[in-house]
Amino acid sequence: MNNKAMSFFGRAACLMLATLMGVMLMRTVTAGASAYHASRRALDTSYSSRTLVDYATAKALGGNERGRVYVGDIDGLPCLTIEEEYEGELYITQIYCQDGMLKELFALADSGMGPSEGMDIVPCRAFEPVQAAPNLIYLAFDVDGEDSFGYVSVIGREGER
Amino acid sequence: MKRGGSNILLIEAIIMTAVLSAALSICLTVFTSASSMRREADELSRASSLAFSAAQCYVATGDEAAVSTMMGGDGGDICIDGVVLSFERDGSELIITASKDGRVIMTQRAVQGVKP
Repeated sequence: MNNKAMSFFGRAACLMLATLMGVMLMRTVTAGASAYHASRRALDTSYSSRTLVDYATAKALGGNERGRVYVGDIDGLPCLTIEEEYEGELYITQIYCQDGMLKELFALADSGMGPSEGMDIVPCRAFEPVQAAPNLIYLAFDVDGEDSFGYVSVIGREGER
Repeated sequence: MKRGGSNILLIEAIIMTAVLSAALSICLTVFTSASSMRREADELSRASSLAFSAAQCYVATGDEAAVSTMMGGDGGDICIDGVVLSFERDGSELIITASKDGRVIMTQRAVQGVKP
């Protein structure tokens, strides 16, 4: 084999190795990007659905006194209602879903404030609290098409428990 | 002289490919491990949430069959999104075990009328 042929094969081998390196690099970048994308999407969904359930559960358990946590409605929207008394005044916390957001409205019982005045908490497509038993509330959420739910045990009204 | 240069270039390319292969294999291992850790964290979070809900149902009702029914089962063990919840009575306590593929993820104890 002469020098010219050796030089040709050497260059061809170099070119093949360079191509191989490029392919491997692209494969790794693609794998990394898809792993990151999958992690982020799963974390987003997990964060939203768990946060919604945990938030509503924590609120209900925080104000869990006899008959003070129940399912109500605010201008026709189903809401989780928590009554609290401060310095002789009755305040109501209402947690509901409106315009793709879970909202919370904390106001005096007779303030006359509407659902649009609530504070945005987390994006949420739908929220439905249901009185599953006299002392048990079922919380159902829809986050971007993924359903999540939770139960919270509350202290029922007199005679219910 | 020209042939010597070509050989050096080839050796350099081989060494570069070997180094890059080693680095990329480490990267792929890290990606796989990250993916596996994310899946485990998600399972733990899901199992924790389901077990807490089941415990809340038991606190309110004191009936394990009702807990299973409320969680979407038929009175016995239930499977939600791959997480299996099984119930075992221990006196007045209900032991809720969350597992996946036979591996126990967590356990939660509940007593009727007592917050978990």
